[in-house]
Amino acid sequence: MKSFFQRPGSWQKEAVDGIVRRMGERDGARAALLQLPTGFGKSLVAVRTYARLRERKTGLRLVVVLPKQLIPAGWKTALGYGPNEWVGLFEWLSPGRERAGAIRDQAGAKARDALRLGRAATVVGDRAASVPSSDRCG
Amino acid sequence: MATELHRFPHLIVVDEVHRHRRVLEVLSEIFLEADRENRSAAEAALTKPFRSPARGRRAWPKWLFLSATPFNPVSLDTIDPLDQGSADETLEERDGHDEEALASEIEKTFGALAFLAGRDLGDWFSRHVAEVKRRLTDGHIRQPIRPPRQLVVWPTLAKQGAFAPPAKPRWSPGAAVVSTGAARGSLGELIRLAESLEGGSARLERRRAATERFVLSGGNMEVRGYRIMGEVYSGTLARCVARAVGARKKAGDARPAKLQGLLELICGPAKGQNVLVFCVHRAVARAVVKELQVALGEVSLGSKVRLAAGSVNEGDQRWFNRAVKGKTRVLVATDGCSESIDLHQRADVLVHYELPWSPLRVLQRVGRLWRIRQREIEPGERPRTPRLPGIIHFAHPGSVDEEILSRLWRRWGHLRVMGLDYLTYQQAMGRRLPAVSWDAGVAAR
Repeated sequence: MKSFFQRPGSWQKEAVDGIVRRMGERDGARAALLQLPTGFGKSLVAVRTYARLRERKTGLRLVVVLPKQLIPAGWKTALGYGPNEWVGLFEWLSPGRERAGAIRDQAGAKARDALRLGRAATVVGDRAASVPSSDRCG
Repeated sequence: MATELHRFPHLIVVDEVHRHRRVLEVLSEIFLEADRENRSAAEAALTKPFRSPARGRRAWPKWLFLSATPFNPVSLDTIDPLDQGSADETLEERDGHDEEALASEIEKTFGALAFLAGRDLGDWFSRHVAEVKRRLTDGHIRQPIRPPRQLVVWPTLAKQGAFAPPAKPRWSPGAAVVSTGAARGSLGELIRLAESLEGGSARLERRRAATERFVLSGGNMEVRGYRIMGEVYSGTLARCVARAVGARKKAGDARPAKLQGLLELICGPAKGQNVLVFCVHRAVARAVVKELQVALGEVSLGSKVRLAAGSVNEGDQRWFNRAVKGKTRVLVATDGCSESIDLHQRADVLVHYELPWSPLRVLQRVGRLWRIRQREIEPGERPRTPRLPGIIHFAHPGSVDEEILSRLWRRWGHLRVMGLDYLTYQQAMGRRLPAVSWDAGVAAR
């Protein structure tokens, strides 16, 4: 995490700039779709975008919705964890702290409480992924 | 209480948006404390622009959707008009497929995203859906549609030629496939069968750019049909192939040949490397692991071969991301492990042991190994394009794999329509094993 926000020279800068420009302005776009090939840093761009938007919008909070309950290594790195580091339940990224937490079961009261209390980021693991997971396939 | 959270601005990042079926449900649970009964009201409130109490401006929440393939793989299967063909229909009937059903399928999938995204992205999706629909219902896909630059950020690497432009359409290696419901087999095999009969002959003639007519005759048999976009349609042929395939199944030569090929690969060119093997079915994955463990002489369980069916635990992930010089490590995974997992740190060989029907699934599989490696990033410098791993796919001649290959090839054209063809068919599928010999003969005809 220490050097994460201080590497603006990397090639994702272009994507961050574009999204911030369109979403950060008054009456700017409400939504953007970031389409990059697998492994090219979508999660890094998302967190950097959040950091840039937070500079403009004080108190901005981040909600990350993941398609499964296991946090991918890319997201761990982007949020300040080591790729092999264990992510505990219900830790929250607060302003000034560079850590996030995950709900590994479902979104619910604790997520609400965390957001209400002013924690900056929440990671939500969606239990319903669309990859087939029957006895035969998956 | 429900409105309290709305006093704060939020950026909602939805990762792998094509996989979510219930994003709004999850978020409404957080923001609105909604239960399932009043879900629709909660969703409407969540997506509606609201006024910040502090400043009275309509602004937040903002949504950022992330995906390498932002369309549901299921939708790519269902919007394929040629899939609605049956053995006995004519070309004219095929041209008149049910456009309303097709449009409904498309809108069902894309409509959900448009609703999520609100005004801005919704407009783009509407236009995109209309264009995709127009091209698909035109019958053939000719021109790519590029997404608008202001919303979709493509890697600048494309400018450096890292992503080759899509090749011109051509027949796929597995093009000669009969696709008529339950009966499957190769046209090449049937041609050989016809020619082996007394007075037998085979004739193929081009009718349009993507359509060929064939006539096989010999003995007291005459089979007529069409090959459209690489697939063969003929009722008589289907019955012939069913008999041929039945006879071959009795000989039992399909599955063992693939397994033997995999063994030869792992003990030969891929020896000493980390190999990722993808299967579709869990039972097949288990069987492959069992066979490999015996064949590779595994002493302690999981030292050389491990199974990841449905999901991969962090221990197996760490094991596979390490390399020991001279030692082979094989991870046999199912498609449940084809997304959101990093397996690229030490592995250089990817095997499609069983083929998926959707090209998006193939791209996701390749994406497990085709990633930027942390150790290759120089601080402050633009990372180089990652090198593609060695990729192998298995397709036994005459098996269902050939039909899947054929459809994968055609659906790669759909990827072009949707602007998702950042890897070509050849790049993503790699080398075919076992190599086929009869294809060349059919093509020469």
